[in-house]
Amino acid sequence: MRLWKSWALARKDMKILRRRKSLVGGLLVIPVLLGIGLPAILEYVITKKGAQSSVVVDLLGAFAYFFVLLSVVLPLYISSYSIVGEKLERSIEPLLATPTSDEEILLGKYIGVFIPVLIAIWLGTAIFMIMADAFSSASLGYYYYPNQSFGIIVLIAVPLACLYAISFSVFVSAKVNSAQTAYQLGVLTAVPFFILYVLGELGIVSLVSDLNILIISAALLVMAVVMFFISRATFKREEILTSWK
Amino acid sequence: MPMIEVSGLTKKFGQITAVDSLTFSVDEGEVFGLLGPNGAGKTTTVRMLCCLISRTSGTAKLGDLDISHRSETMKIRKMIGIVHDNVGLYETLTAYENLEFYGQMYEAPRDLVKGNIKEYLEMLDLWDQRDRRVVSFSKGMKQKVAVARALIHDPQILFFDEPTANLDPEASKVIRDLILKLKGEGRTIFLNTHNLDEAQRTCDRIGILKTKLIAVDTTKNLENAFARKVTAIVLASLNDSILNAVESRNPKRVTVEGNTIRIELEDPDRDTPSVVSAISGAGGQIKSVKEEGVSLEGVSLEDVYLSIMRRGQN
Repeated sequence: MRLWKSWALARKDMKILRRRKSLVGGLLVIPVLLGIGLPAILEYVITKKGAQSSVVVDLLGAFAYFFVLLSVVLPLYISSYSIVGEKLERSIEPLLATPTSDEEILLGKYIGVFIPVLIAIWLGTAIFMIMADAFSSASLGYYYYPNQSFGIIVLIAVPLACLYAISFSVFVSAKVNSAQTAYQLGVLTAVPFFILYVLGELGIVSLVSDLNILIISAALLVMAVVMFFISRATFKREEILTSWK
Repeated sequence: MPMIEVSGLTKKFGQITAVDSLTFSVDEGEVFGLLGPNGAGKTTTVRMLCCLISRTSGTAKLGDLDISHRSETMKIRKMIGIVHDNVGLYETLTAYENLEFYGQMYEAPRDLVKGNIKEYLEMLDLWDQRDRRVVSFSKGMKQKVAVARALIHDPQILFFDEPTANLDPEASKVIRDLILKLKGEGRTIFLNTHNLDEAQRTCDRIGILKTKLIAVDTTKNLENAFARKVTAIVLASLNDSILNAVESRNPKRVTVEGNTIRIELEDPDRDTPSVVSAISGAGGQIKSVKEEGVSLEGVSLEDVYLSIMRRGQN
C-alpha cells in the first residue's frame, strides 16, 4: 500500500469539502455549539442553582463524554458522502480505473474525513475548555482544564471513536446508493455509545474513569481495524460500477 | 503487432449474457471502432478490457499483459487511458486541479503531468479556463477535460466510450480531430460509438457488436461486402402473373427490361430460390439466374450497419 496515494486522494476530498460551504458549516456548527452550550449550562448551574464544587466536577466529567459521542456522530455527516458522493458525481469509475488499490482508496477516504472532523471536534473542545474554565474556576478555586482525563478523551478516545465511525460509515457508503441511506445506517454506530452513556448515568459504568475510557478506546481501535479489513474484503469494484444507476 | 488481442471474451450478469464470445485484435497505432446499439455490450467490453469488471470466460491481452492475471491489473490500468461515457469530473475542482489529481493517481511524473496539462488544455482550447471550476463548464468543455484526463499519463492505449455523445458538431469535431492526431502519434485507439459518421471518419477497422461480434473489417470492405446485389432472371417471356408472383415475395425493388427481371432482395442467398419457384409456379420459363453487383455509390456505412442489425434480429 502506497500511503502517498491515499494522501493524494484525501487531499482531493478535503479540498472538495472546503469548497462546499454547507458541509463545512454543518461540520463546525455542532462542535462549536457544544463547546459554547455545555459551559453555558455549567454557568447556569453554578450561578442560578449554587452548585457545589463536587457537582461541578461531576458535570464537567459527564460533559467530556459528549465529545466522544460527537466524534461518533459527526464523521457520518461527511463520510456518508465518501463513496456515495463519488457515485453521485459519476467520478467513481474514472477513479477505479486508475492504478490505485482498494486499500489505498479506502485509506484515502478515511483520512479525508478523519482530519477535518478531528479539527472540528478539537476546535469545539478548545472552546469548551476555555469557557468551562472561565465559568468554573471561581467556584472550584482552580482551572479544571486541561487535565489528564480530558487529555485521554480528546487525544485518544475521540480520534479512535472517529476512526471507528468513519470505518463503519465508509463500509456502508460503498454498499448503498444514496448518502441519506448511508447516513441513516451509519447512525447505528452511535448506539453502543448511547447505551454506555445511559449505563454511566445509572452508575453501572464509570465514564469518568481513565481506565474505562482507555478500555473503550482500545475496543474502538480493534473495531476500526476490523472494519477496515471487512471494508477491504467487501469492496467490490464491479458491484459498485454495475449496481449504480 | 496486436496491442489488443481478445479471444472468446464473454460476460454474463446472472442469466443475462451481455457480451458473447468476442474475438478480435487491434494493431498498434490502429483506430478500432466498436459499433452497436444501446445495450449491445460496448461499455461492458471496454470495462472488461480495462480491468474494471471481471470477465466470465475468454481472455484478452493488452500488449503483453493478460487481463485475467490479477497481478497485471495495475500495470494494465497504468498503460491505458479511458474517456468514460459519463465524464465523472469533480465539479467543485478546477479543470487544472482535476487533471493534476488524476496525474498523481496515474503515478505520472510531476513534470510530465504539468506539460501534458498545458499541451492538451491548449490543444482543446481550455488553457484560459484552467482555473475555473468544472461545474461552470458546458458539456463540451467537460468532455474535453475528460479527454485530457485520459491522456494525462501518456498512455499507449486509449479507450473512448461514446466520446461525442450529446456534443455539438463543433465540439465533436475537436474530439475527432484529436483522435486522428493521437493515431498519428502511433497510439492504439479503441472507440465505442453508435455514431456511424464518426466511425467512418476516424476508424481503420470497425467491429459491429450486438452482444456478439457480427462483423469486423475495414469500412471499405464492409461496404463492399454489404453492397446491394441484384438477382437478374432472364425469362423466355414475361406476363403480369409472373410479375405478381415476384411481387408476392416482397422484394425491395423490381425493374423489368425486355424479358429480364432485376430483383433486389433482402438476402439474395436466402430469397432467390423462393422467387425462382414462384416464377416457375406462375408458368414462367427461366433461361438464366445470376447475381449482379450494384455500384457502391450510395452504399454507406449506415446501410451496412442497418443491414447487419436487421440480419442480427432475424
